[in-house]
Amino acid sequence: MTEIREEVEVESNGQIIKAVISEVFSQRQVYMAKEIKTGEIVALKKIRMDNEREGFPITAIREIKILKKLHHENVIKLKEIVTSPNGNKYKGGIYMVFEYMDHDLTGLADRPGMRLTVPQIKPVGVDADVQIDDLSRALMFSYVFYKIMWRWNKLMTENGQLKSIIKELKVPITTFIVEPFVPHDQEFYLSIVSERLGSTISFFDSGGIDIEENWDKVKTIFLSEACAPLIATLPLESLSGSLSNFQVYTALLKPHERIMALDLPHGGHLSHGYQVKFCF
Amino acid sequence: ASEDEYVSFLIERETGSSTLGFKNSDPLVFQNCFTHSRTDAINWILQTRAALGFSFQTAYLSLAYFDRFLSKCSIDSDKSWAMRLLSVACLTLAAKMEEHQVPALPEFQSEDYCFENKVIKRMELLVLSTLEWNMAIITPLVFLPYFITKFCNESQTCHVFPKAM
Repeated sequence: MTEIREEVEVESNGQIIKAVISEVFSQRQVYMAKEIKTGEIVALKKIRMDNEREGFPITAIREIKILKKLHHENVIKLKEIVTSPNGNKYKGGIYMVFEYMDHDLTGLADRPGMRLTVPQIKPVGVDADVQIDDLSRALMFSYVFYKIMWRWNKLMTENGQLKSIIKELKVPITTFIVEPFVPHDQEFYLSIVSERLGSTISFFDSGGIDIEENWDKVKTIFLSEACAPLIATLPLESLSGSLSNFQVYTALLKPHERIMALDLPHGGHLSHGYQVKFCF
Repeated sequence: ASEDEYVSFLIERETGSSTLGFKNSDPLVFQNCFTHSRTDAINWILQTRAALGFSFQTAYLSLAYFDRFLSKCSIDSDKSWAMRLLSVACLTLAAKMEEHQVPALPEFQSEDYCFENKVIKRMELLVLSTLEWNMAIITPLVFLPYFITKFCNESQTCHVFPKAM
């Protein structure tokens, strides 16, 4: 099934690495690549530089800025940034090197009959003894919760203690590609709302996709049969991109840090706000 | 408490060697001729900052890029165009990190030098790779709000803050 499309050479710390591009994901110029020497499989994302008047694209700068800030096992790692030495060093392509992830959610949602198998589902790995606040923070770090966020807040407030629930559920999380500026349509969001953030934002406020209406689709895509019953008992609600983005960014911020907005033509989103300072 | 945590987090990031970015082996001492062209660069950055309405944080950041770049790469200080090109690239990069709206490259031109867009872009890339893509540098300005709120009581804060910035 894998077909070799292209071979690229990139330079990393002064060493030339040959990478075989075998799969092209969507239109975003994200490639699966194998480092020939070590055999390591990585994802290469080419930074597009179409706009001469802009110079090095602001979207890439902001994306790198955010990704360099995030250190969490459930957030994809930006391993390094490499240049392709074809011709002039600063003329060739620039690639962001990520860990390779098997799936991205948009792709999965479009694939009929797609089902994740149990080995593909990775446990959360949350220490059951952490504080609720840290826990919700840790959960928010997780990209899957960025995309499908189970609405924990009811459970939290009704049961008081989240950790016992977590322990019982062993909530499945798979790893997916992190894309800070994803298009927001046709994606499923559920909310996870920490006590810190309050729990007042609803699906209807945000115009998200109703997970319950789309439950069959969501269920087949994201849940193996083994964990479906557990998840199905949770009260579900989806959130659209803007608010999920906002929540996730907020969860990642330290007090006084700013959410930097891109303006809309650059691919920014209304919800990203500008120079908002949070002080909890 | 979260305020204090945040400041200790900033200090940790500021002192962390990986984010410091200067070449560690020798101290950053500019020779006389460099001091002169550095002053020129500062002037240009400050003027352009005012003209384009950028924040001081952006100006500070671009100068930090400028210094860090020169601590790793040398530019012949006779070549004042090269110094200016470096200033332009540092300012555009800092603006992209910090500013809400970033004007297109031609807006960064001044009367005395005119660089092609692709030349600026290449310089940006050279700066980015020389600084090893570590562009989120902690500047003293980010500490200001914390200390202002420490020194003043709540009611004064909003008056003092804009002045200090």
